Amino acid sequence: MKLLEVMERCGIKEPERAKVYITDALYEMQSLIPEKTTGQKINVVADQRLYSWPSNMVRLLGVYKKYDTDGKYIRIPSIQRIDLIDEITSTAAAAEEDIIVV
Amino acid sequence: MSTLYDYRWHQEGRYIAILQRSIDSVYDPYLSLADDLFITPSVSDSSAVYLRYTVTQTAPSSETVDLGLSQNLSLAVVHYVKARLAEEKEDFKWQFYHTSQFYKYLSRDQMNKKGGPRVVLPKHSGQVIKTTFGE
Repeated sequence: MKLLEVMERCGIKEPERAKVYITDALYEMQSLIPEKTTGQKINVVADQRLYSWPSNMVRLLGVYKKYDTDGKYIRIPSIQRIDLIDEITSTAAAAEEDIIVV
Repeated sequence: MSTLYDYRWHQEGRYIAILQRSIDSVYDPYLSLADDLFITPSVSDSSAVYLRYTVTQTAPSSETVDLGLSQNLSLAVVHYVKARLAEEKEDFKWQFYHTSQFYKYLSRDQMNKKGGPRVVLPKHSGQVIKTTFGE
């Protein structure tokens, strides 16, 4: 379906207004169903815990790790129990960037 | 024998935290808590962590360009736009209607991608139910 057809069905005469709404619709759609997916690799660096999320990510579908033993990507689970982490110092370091001094 | 590592992740604000712990070649479920902690990766790993995610899409720049969606998803987009227009007019009855239609077409698109008949099985039955489609 073309953009013009969407505008006709909705009765919108301004193309820019329709584009804004359609962009919102596509974002909502991508957050609900995996219509267009992609992947990104993160190289694990020694002594670095935090890595940035991809800028164009809407919804995370999975985190995988390639183990040397069998060479296959295996889905790694997220850790829920905070007592299994050694320290939470990196959280404070990350939060420092978000502090707004009034 | 090389050391094996077990990995976990969790979200820390706007970052993803990758955690690592060394495990023995023989898995011991009775490790003490101190040995069981996940720590910051101490060694670099050439085999990367792979993230799979959905990406943002933008509307086409020209009016004559196709959205690149299936028919059901295109209709879902139409209902989403109509819902937003009804919201601007404070016509919440039609906004609710078009929003529900938006979700309906999304679910219909997903259901169409699953082939074969769908049969509701009784819970804990273990029986094989013979379908009689087309008779």
